[in-house]
Amino acid sequence: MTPQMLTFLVLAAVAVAGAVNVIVLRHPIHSAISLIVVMVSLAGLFLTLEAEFIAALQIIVYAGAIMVLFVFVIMLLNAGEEERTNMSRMARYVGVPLGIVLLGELAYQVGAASLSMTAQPADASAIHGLSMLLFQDFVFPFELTSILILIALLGALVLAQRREGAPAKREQQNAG
Amino acid sequence: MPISYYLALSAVLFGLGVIGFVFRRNIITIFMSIELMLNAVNLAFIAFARAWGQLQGQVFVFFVIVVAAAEAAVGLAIVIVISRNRHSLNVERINLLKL
Amino acid sequence: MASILLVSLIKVAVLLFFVLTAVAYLVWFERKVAAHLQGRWGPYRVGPHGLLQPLADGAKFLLKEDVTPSSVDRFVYFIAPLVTMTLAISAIAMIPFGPAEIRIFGVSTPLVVANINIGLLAIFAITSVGVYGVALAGWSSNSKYSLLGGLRSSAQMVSYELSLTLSVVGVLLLAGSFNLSELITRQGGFSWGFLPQWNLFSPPFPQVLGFVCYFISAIAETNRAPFDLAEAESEIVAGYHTEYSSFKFAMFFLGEYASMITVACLATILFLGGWLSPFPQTAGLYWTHYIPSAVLALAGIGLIIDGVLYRQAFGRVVLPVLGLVVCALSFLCTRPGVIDGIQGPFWFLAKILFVLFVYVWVRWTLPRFRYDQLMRFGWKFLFPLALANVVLTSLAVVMRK
Repeated sequence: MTPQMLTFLVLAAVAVAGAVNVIVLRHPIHSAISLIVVMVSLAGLFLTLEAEFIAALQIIVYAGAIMVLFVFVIMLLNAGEEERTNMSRMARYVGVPLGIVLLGELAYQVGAASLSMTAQPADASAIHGLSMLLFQDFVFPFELTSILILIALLGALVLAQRREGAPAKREQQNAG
Repeated sequence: MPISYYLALSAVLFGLGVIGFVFRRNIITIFMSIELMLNAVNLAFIAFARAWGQLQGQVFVFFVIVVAAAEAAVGLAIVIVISRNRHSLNVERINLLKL
Repeated sequence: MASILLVSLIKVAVLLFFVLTAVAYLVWFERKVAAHLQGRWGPYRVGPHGLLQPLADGAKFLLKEDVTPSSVDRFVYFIAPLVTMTLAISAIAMIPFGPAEIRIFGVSTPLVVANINIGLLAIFAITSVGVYGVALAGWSSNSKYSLLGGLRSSAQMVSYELSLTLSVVGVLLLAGSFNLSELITRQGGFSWGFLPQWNLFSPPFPQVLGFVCYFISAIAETNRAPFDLAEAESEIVAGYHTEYSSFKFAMFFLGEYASMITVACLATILFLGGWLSPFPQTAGLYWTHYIPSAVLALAGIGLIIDGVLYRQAFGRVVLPVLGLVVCALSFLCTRPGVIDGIQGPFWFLAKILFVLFVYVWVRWTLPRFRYDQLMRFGWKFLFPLALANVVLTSLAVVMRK
């Protein structure tokens, strides 16, 4: 049990536990917190794979901005717990165990595949190499994604605006 | 440290994301399952980037994160508008186009 | 391998002890400075010159009744202050305190707990996740004021985070690395023989714009006045920590002051030269190496004189003893083994104290921003300013080549 294996097992266990919590917990805020835990443990896994810049990017952008957006929307919409309806008996007694078996089989086949090559040592300074690639080979997709973010920003602003007369309509509905 | 362990973990996370997407009824939780799937894919990309010693995998993860941000912004704006109109976050209540 | 682990654990324990003590005495420092700015004395009775006030505050926080409202979301209510405090304190692990390497148990180790290659990015990552402590605390308290205060506060933190990270890009362009120790060593050297080449005065493009932008964003990021609308007592009860009592409230408090220290440390590292001395290291100026011991000697003599003339008997005993200890430390700093090693940490601490003093000074001098003024300032003024700084700095770097 080398230290690398131990680190991987701990981080993987935390990631899987968080993912299960995302789909099992009923309140959206708890799911959001579990998803943040998954993202942080994935950032740890990226660190073990020597992708430090992407790990920092994952935490700053994904866990620190996108999930904040999710949390804000959940708080603003006052999302409550989901209603509890029982699954059909077929789903509960046959579906769930079969699903777990399928998932386990998939994981086993992928994990034991002939892709079991050992990781090669990467060269130093991944940030330098990454920025060279980003600004030389991939500069066109880079500029395209910046325009995409701009469009998304404008789209979100326009979509979420209240139209004139809409507040009066809600007060009518609340009074009636 | 065999790369296939990372791929197995990525497969498990992706599968859990699909399960969440299919079974949950709250639209925000469905959205979060989509983000979980994207994260699993990111892990697979980084694992392969490390295995082949190339950095194109990391560049692609960069783009996936950026596009996920844009998609989350627009998607959540749509969710806000839907909840304002239907007064519910339950996907099964958004059924006006149903026959 | 095991000895390296042990040395790291020792460094972590020492740093934790120093950080918690520093946070407690930073509260004392702020209360004293605020009081003297307002023409009064501040804490004076609890121990000589109020020096035991942090102890009394700590005891109060621990012994108060821990009230938990009945309709809170228990798990989130419990972890929100934990998240805030843990992240704020762990950001200090990346800060280098000096150039030298010290030997513990035969292992030579630098004066930093975690010298990682992306140190600056890691600190920003920790700051990003720290937004959750505030947002979740406000939401889980299940109260209108808490929710509003929490949402406003976290929206403010997210907005000013942008200007914070952008204002630092100029420094990164000049230095070419994210490693904090390397950022400091690249600010060595003196232009025209006497002006230190810190990033504030750096030759291609002085980062004055960046420093101003960074400092303002840092004040807004840590929710301090004049940007503390979301937690000020006269505005929204107490904002997101209304429903918290005793130790959980103390954790928020600790987290806020610890992040203040982190931001001050980053400001000195990035813009004021970190642990570099402001005097050129030539043979003719070797007397500047005696400045730390001179400062400590002055402080010790001042303490002794003040202690002898103090009113209460307890102070008359404690203060001269403290003064003698400080004088002994000052003598220790002139010994050949210590004098070279103490330079780095001394200048670092001096600069941090200066930055913290300006922080406290700004808090008790300027009136508060209204929330929409705050957001407008962050998005429409600071963010374009930081962008302009990036553009101008990159122009200067390219033209220098």
